[in-house]
Amino acid sequence: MKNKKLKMARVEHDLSQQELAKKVGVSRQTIGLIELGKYNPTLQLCLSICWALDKSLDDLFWQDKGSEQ
Amino acid sequence: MRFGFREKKVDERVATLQNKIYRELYSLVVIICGISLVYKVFFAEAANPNIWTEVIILVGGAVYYLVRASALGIFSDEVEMHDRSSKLKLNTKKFMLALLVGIGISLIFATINSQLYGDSTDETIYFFFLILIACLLIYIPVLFGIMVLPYVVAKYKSDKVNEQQMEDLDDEDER
Repeated sequence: MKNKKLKMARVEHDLSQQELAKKVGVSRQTIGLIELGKYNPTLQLCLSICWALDKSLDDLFWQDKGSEQ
Repeated sequence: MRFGFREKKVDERVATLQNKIYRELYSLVVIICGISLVYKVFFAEAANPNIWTEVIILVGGAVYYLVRASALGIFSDEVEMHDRSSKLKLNTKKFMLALLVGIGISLIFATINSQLYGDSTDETIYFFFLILIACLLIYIPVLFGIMVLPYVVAKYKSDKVNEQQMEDLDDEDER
């Protein structure tokens, strides 16, 4: 399931995947895979991303049961 | 205090995948050692094949894992997860495996040796039961010592570590 919220928040901050990755301390592929929904980050990484984008966990990662993002 | 050194950042996804590779690598090492061991014992020409390296790698690896897993307290969790999804408890499985292997080895030895050394039918039957009982008395306790005892000790240690961790958590809650 793609994480469109994360992509939108990143674009809002005018950051490329590479720039966000650098801010958070992971590789660009990891950010790309999280956005594609192909990698489940740990809570710690979720928090790092939220801090980098000034968002809450709910804003970026919450999803209702069975709902598509 | 880091003396001006930058903390090395590790990508958790990469670390997880690396751990997966290390896991596969260990399996590969065990398989290679196993094949080498079987080849040296059954097919090599040498009368006394040197198998210590393979034995040390196989036994040492297993012992190291057991010690680390029990010291970290995850061995109890592994057993709990296994028992939750399996009809037979891991304890029972180990117990039965040791018993079956012991009986199997004893039967093989008794059959081979009674036929080798028995001159008449009566003597062969007599030798068979004699060797079978002797082997059962020797191999079952030995196999229990190798297969069941380390498991029991590791489980006990792991349970203790878990209890200690829980106590520490309770103490933190009270503070």
